[in-house]
Amino acid sequence: MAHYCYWLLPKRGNIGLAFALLFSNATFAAFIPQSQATASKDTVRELEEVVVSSQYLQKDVKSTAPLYNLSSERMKLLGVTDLADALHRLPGVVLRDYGGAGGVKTVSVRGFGAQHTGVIYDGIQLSDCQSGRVDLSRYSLDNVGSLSMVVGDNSDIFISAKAASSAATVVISSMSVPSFQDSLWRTTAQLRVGSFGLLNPYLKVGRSVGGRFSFSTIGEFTYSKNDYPFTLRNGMTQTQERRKNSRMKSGHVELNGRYRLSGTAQLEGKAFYYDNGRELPGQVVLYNPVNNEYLRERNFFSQLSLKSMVSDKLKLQGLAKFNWDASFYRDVNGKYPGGQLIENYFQREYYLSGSALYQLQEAWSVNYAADCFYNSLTGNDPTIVNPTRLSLLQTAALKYGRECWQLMGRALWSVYKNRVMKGDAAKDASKFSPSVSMSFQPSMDRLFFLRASYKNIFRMPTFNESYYFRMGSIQLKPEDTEQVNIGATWQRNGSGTFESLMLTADCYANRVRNKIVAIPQNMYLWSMTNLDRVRSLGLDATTQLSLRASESQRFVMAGNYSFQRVQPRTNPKAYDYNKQVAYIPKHSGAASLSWLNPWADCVLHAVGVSNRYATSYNLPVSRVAGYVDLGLSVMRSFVMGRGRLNLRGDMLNVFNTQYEIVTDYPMPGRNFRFTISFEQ
Amino acid sequence: MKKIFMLMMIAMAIAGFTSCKEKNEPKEANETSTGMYVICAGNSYSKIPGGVTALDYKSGEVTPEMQDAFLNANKIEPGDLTSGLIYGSKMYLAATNSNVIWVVNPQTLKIIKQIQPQGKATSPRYFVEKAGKVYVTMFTGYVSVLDTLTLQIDESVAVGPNPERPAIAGDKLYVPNSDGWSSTFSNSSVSVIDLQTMKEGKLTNSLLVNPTHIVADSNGVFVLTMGNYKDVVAKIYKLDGNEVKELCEATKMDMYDGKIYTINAPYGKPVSGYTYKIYNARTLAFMGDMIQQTTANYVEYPTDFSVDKATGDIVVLSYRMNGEYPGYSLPGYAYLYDSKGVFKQRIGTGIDPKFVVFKR
Repeated sequence: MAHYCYWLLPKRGNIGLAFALLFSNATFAAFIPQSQATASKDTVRELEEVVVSSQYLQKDVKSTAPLYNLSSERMKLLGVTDLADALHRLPGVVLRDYGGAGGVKTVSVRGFGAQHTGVIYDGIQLSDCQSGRVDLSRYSLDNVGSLSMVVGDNSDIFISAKAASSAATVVISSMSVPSFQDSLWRTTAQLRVGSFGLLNPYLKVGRSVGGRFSFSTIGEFTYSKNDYPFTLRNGMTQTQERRKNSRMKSGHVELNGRYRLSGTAQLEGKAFYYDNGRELPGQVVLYNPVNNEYLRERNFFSQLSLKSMVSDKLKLQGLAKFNWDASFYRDVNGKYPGGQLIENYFQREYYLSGSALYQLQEAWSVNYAADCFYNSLTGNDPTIVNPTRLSLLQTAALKYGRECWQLMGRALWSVYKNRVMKGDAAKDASKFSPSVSMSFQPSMDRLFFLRASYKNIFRMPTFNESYYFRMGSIQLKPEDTEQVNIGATWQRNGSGTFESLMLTADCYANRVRNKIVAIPQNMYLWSMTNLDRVRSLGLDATTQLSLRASESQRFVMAGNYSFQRVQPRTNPKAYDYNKQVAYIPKHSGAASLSWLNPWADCVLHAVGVSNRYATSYNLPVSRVAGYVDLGLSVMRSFVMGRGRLNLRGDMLNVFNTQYEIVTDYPMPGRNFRFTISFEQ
Repeated sequence: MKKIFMLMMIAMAIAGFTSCKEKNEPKEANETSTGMYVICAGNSYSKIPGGVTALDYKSGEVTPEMQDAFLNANKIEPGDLTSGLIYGSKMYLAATNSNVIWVVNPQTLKIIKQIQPQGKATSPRYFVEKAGKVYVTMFTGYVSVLDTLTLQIDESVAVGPNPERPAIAGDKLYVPNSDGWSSTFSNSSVSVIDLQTMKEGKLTNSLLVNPTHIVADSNGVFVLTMGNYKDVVAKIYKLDGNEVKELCEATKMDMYDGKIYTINAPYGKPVSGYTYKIYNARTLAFMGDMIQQTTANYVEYPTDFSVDKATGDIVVLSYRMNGEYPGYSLPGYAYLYDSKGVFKQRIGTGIDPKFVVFKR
């Protein structure tokens, strides 16, 4: 019930301030010399280029660390239904999903906690200083241009310092604005309806003005009743129930702009507002279906990025962002003082980043990046100490790249300063985190690549862990991680029926030290401590096969499989020693089969997860059964004038499998969605 | 977060208590117990249902069926059990979050009736009995009166916030109002209800911070206060009119034969520093240790205890240690001692053992 993260303040004055901060960035732009050629490469653009170069084999084969990419085209090809489904198609991912359209979704990778997963949205990392976890249910797939995941250190050298500060990073790039050459209005209008009262209209309008400025604006609304049926097991009996108190209304508007300052410098800006009010159905409690929790979350952010190619050898990038997050939680129950519990939290972040890339010689390049950000948390509860954190992150990276070799080393120097308005602040931290990675192509004639990487990184304790009333501990140290990965990619392209086959395999060993866990201090009081050590050993594999059956028909098969052995290694005398960490399946994977044809493209897709345990003691009683969730998607496009009409139907959970990802949060059974969209 | 925390606290906070049988029910006074039930809350966050562990003294062992006796008797789970009571020919079990009072056969645990409190008085916590009525504290701020013949809730009396383990002395029902959901416990109080008129009055005292348990007999009324988990430590006070008199520092208590039995497990102390002591309820004098700990059967991490009102035998419930820290979602233990505190036996229980009910 209390997995929701609550945060920051909707004071208009502050939004104004944010704009002021962002637009003062013009000063920042002014000192950057302007010369030829446009846009430097940032992570996102590089990934997009890979997408363009090979439509069905997007994985960046030369990456020195595991990198998985799903472009919007590819997601459509594989029948991906929503962002959660997209994440299931990536190996090594464990998604926490509390069910249905309103359920919180957080991602952990390779046995690291969700706080170790960084999420970059349009070039800048999202943050939640309170819980440390980013809820991905906020971002709708309709607006995603590409989704990728980097495990460890990306071979992309030109990134911000904060982007190098997570054990794994999910990169979401939203649909971009129309190109400068395009002078027509570009419009996408879409309506989706589905089971359990799902209604989801979406509108996007954009155009380019005068060859230098291009913009798009997006509006989206989602309503869902989410009152899906589920099977309640109680001892040796079972009954059919429905989720209650589950209605959600969510809206999102966005404004994007891109402005060409000169031939070599470009400014991009974004303003984003999200507002979601939802009833929370809560955990299923035997005999008591009454739950009166309600959560409203509001998020505004605005960001600017400036990219400039100063010379053939020097590229610069500046980023600025202001973010506020507000959450308003209410639970009505006679047990609370006054009959209800109200928890309002407000979070703010100010973020600035500068990065320079210099090409030393043909094969050598060097990068320096510095990020500075300030986070604060306030709330209505008098027990909140109003913590703030000032962070300064700097990275220096060196890369050597030849046809067959890619070598990269990066060092991150982090300084975190904690302050509170009342009481004592958590410990400051400063740390040095190195990473090295390489990829090697043994023969230029064959598409076979080897990679190896090492990364040392940590995460700071979250504000909840440090300061939560009675439970937080200001003595906490950062949670340290180390990861080693070796992997290979093999690809073969053919002619005739056999189009292409790609295989990737990666083995890894990870270690977490000073893991932050809650332990009882006596019979009544729990507190957070750096206690646990965790070891992960695992294997991630992906494959994709593309066959051309005839001129107009093609089959694409894609699959991913993960083996994860994630073990507590704290105390050999403990019951959980060497058992499997709670909620991490040993085996998980996804597969899809797509039949592309002139009539209607069909995709059969499935996600499967083996048994898990809700406790790290792996008690049989706490076993959460494995499942396979099968879906079927059918799509067809029609050309209409200068536009295109797309129709899509999805049958989800075809076999009506009753399963849970988090214990006693049942997932929906069989359900349907229909989408109609028109773009021109 | 706050909810998780509070649930953890609630789940861990409350001590075992078998109500003081009225002396005017001689039928029960001379009987000895034939066995006991350990009421376990389980752990809903770990998919572990609550249950009842049954021990028959004759056989002396807990079979797998007895380990989950409620489920085996009824084929359904009881919910997150908090406490229980055997009174007359029936046994009562309270499941707080599930909002159920189970009325079962005390020998077989077969369900006689499932009572789901409706309206404002919900979330049953603890029972106390007298004269054909069972009084049950409701966490939403009420005491409900359950008729043991009709098995209906006759009425509900509003008390303070978050009432916990009550006791009856004479014609007065004493209810500790913990105010456990507030961060300050500023509305802590003891409700005194006249059982003739069902009129409620409140007794407040600045020393009574977060009271969670009351025991009473002719020697007096004792209140266990948990303090504020910061600078105010957990203590037992004796009520003396509108004044209170400190007995000792303690985090758990029970009463038997004019004596107050205590466990003190204060914040920040290792398990080896926990104390088990007995005091005289009339003179408040320290009388000696409650149990004799042995190295082989040292109580791993006490959560609750209870004294058998028929025999004076003592049962201490405990978590199982997972390395250096207690495993709150591991099966627990019950340590059995005789009336002199000499160790007799240790049995395994369900997960999160909360409360002991002795079977007659």
